[in-house]
Amino acid sequence: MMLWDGQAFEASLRRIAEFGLEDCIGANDCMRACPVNRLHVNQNELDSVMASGVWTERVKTFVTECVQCGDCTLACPAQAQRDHMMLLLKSRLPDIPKSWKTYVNLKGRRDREWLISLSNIMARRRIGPMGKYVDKRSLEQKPLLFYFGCYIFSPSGSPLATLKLADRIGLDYEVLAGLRSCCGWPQYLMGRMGFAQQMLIHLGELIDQVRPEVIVSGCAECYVALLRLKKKTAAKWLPLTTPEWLLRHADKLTWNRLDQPIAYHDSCHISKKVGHPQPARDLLALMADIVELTESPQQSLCCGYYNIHANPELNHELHLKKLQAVQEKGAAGMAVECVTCWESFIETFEQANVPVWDLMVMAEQFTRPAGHPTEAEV
Amino acid sequence: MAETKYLIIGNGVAAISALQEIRHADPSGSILLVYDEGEPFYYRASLSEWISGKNSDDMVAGRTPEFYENMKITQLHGRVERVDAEKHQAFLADGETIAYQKLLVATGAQANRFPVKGLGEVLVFRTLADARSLKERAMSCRRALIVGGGILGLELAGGLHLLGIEHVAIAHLGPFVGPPLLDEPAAEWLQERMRADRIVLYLEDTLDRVEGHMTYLRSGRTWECDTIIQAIGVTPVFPEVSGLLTGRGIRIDDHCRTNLPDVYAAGDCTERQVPGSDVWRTTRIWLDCSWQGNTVGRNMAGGDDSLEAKPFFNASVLYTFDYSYIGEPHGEEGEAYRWQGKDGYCKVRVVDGKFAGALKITDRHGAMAMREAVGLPVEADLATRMSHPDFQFNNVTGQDWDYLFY
Repeated sequence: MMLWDGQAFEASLRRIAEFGLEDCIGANDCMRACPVNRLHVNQNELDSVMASGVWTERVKTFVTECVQCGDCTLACPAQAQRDHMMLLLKSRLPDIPKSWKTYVNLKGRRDREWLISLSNIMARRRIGPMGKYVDKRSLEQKPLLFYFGCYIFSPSGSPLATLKLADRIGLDYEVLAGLRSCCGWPQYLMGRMGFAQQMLIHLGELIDQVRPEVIVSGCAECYVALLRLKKKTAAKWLPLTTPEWLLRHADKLTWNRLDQPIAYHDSCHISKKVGHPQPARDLLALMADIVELTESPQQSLCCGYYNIHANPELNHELHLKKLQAVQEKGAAGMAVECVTCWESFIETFEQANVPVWDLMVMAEQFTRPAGHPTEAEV
Repeated sequence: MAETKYLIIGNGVAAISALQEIRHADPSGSILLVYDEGEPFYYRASLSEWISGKNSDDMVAGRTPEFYENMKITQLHGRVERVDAEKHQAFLADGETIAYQKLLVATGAQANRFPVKGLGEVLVFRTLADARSLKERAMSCRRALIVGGGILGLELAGGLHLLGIEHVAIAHLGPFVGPPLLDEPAAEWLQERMRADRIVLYLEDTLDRVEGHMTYLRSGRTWECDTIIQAIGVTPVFPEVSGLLTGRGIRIDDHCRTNLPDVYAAGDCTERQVPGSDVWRTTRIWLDCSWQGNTVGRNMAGGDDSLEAKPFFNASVLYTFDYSYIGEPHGEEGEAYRWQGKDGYCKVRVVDGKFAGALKITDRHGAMAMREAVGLPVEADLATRMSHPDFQFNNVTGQDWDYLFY
């Protein structure tokens, strides 16, 4: 039963962001840590805009291009949460980039019913067997819920692979997927708090219909949205990332190994912010030797997804840096646990013929019983 | 005679926080900011990073010039010598008089200096002007002596070390550096690392006299150096205000009001009564000054805001390490749990089964969450859990305080 009315959503963001202004001692470590501060904005510029509410072009561009990776917050000696300040500033941006408007035309929008219905007709055809799970009219009560949200449409193939693995293990489950069950985080990370709040509350209502014990998601944003929802509603269900879930059943599968080492890309949300870098590594270790790209997961370079294509060239530079690191380390490819990271990197990596493995897709291929047809054969 | 609705004396974080709040509450009321430092608000707490070269010149200012224009702030460089609270007038050293409706005294504190036989020039580390002198001196400095091993002295030692000055010594009167932030075990952890950086520590000792480049300490030990800096605390400073109640600082209540109508004070120049006692305490913490500035700004603009009774919290740089100080980690009562290694130090204190406070050096993960957890019961097996390498400090009370990001 949902008990949270969501009123605290915007207020808590403002409180944390304002603390960042109060607590800022001027170390400038946040700005040095930022992977997208191409304009070399200083924190006094940012603090001045935050305090006065009067924008400068430089800060406007910087805020628009912020990818919400959290590196600034991790770097701050005073524990100011600069990423929250950036988020609050995003919510106050006078102009929203065109790419954002396109991106959230349907995602996280409860006011676009007929457009979503139309989109679903097309999408169901496109994604074949998975189409039956898109915005299901009725949900059954099951202890295990796979929550794909809008990433059911992901070209990564992660949702289908996840369900194949669940079937292989012999689990009974329900699936919640489609634009109508969006977690709201795409809106949240653009600072559109009203839409985000509305979607998260609606998601809670949909989950209530299933009454699950465990909810599994392969999208970092969906996963942290679930964490937020659980915290605010004191829900009993347990949110798990796809690697956390699959590790619980690892002994029921027979694992094959790749004979070349694979690099691992940390999701900013899961590895840095929530602080769970290990489960994905434990899962990957069942299939390949791991190449670490940085000394610690907290130093991992962001995929850049969450400036929502506001500056594609800037993001391409991030992808090239990551590709270069993978190649320099002699890895045969890179594994990711989050579908948005996969979608971010895939184009640049494909151009260089370096594979990006979604961990669920990889696990599904590397646990196929003997004689099982390969993906290519299918 | 100049006139203003709000007169703010000072250029520190309390003053800047107050004027921001005033402007938000009163978009058109005239605000006059008077200070004698020659610089608008700057990040005092990061001056050592500017000295060390980590931060460039354009990172020192706390706000941009456009900020003051946008906030419609008039600035005046001058020193307020005296205030007639009854007439609502402030008198500047250059003879000018300013009539005000509401006055905020946020004049801060100045570095203490003490005379030493043979020492001509006394260098201190408090203001941007001090930092400029030190940076200039540091260019040719080969050997430095810092008198005072408190937080400021340690910050300065870190700055000089990062600047590449190989011979730095600290003379400190107490048995260990960093009080009251550090207790003895934490200080030992830090001292070990400082000595590894070749910082020389003269404990229970201080500077007695200087002869040329040779300094003689009270113990009889000597240290040759070309630069001597005193870092021995600060004293509140404020103009003479007729009828104002003061102790070491200006006495304020939890609304940042003084005993005089329309006269408010905030920041390092103030002192507040410790609840339930006759003791009055000054503050030297950036965040406290910032909060006082916010509170006083709202109240000067007609609000009725009081300082929240929040657990003590400070996070900054100690020598060259990040640290967080949460609640009350030190004290006789209760149990202390410590974890230390070459990469960090953590102490958690539990009183009557409740989380009382913590000190964390280097790894600060979970510090904000721990602030939220002060006063909550901790789980009985805390000591065992803390020794585990995967222990999450944001989970000290057994609750999932993932406050840091979500």
